[in-house]
Amino acid sequence: MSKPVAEMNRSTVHALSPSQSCRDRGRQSFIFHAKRQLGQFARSTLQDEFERSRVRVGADVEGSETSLRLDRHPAFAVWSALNIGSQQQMWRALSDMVTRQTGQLNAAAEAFWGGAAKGSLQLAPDLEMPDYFIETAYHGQPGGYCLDRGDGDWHAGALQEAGGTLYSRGAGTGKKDSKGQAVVRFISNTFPGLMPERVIDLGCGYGGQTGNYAVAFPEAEIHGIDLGAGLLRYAHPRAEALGLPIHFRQACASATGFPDASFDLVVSNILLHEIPRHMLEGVMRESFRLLKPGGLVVHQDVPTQRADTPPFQQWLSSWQVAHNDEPFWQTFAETSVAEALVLAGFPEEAVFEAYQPQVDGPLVWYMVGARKP
Amino acid sequence: MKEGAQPADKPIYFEDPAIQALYQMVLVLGEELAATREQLHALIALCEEGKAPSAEAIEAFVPDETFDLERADWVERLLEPLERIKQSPSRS
Repeated sequence: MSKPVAEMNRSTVHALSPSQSCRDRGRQSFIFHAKRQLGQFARSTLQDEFERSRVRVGADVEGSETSLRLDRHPAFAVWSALNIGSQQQMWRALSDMVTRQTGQLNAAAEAFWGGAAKGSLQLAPDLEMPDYFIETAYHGQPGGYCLDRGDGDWHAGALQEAGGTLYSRGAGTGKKDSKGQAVVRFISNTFPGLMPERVIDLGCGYGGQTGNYAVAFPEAEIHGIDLGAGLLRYAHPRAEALGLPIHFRQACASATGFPDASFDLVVSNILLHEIPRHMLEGVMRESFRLLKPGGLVVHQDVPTQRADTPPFQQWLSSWQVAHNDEPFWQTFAETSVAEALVLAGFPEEAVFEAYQPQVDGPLVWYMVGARKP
Repeated sequence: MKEGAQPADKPIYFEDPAIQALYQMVLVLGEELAATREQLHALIALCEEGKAPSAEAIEAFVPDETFDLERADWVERLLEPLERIKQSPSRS
């Protein structure tokens, strides 16, 4: 049995991590550096032009008008074409790497199934998938999160982990950072002494963040749920390979099937900006229902809702919606999660919003949640 | 069995769509060159160390940080012309 890892971040390697060939390394390094350069270009040239456009048409201009003017700038066209091209290249390079090793990774995964497992996997083949989930190829990931070719297919999870790591590093997120760790740090600072007995991670995906809760709360029973069978078939052996006892279940984050008041801590990591508003409201109701009295919910996501989000950052957000398969990004930015928590049953005074810096990157994460009386 | 979702169609950013195709081709060439540079670097380093440059040795070779700086440098040079677009007047 594997010994549990001490900490998990973007450098975590495990038995299901695909090996990078010399060619893979060259291709992925190119994409990484191209993404870094394009990010710098956006923050310098595009932002300068954006601000000049705002000055020309007035400081109070609506974002859409500014976008229209920037859309006509030749730098915007080139940047957009290269940015999208690099994203498509990223998925091709990662798909090639993962698919080439299907046999080896199948064998690695199979080694962690069976009676010696610390955690578990419960799939629900008859679970009805929401339309938005089966229609969205999040971030351009081939097949999206619902990819499931049957017969134990885990490719969706492998691609989500590999893509998330390369994309985030290209976007400037540090190697040491992990979203789950950010939540753990936030809880440790804001609710010191919290020792949950049962934790659930909603929309856990490949389980990368769920592992952080298993490490932070070693005495707790850790659960992760997601709609994607192909994500969970990867998450389970991945967790086992890392020595982490996690129970994964295929379920919807707004209707998990767990009993009322059965968890002390409910968390999610960058789930809310990937779902439509009615689903977000459902997740808040489910969070309230699942929590025991005194329990805590913390949802972590992108910081698009800051009142002081600079207009250019808002413009970049709207670009993501239109160009990078992020259909709910803008809806999320315009939604008050705090209000949704109150509507779900949490007292207004129990609701909090905060911003948590990354460990070694320039970004901050948005934290929103509440404590159930 | 679900083949999954397909990425949404992406906009064409140029009046002439052939320009967008050209940018895609430049990216693919850049990626291919990066893969070749990676292999060539391993090959030369192994030769300099007097080791047999077998396929296994090339795969096992781990480049140092200096090579990563070189990677960053040449991608920067590749994309450097973008900065000159800054000087172009905005069409309005």
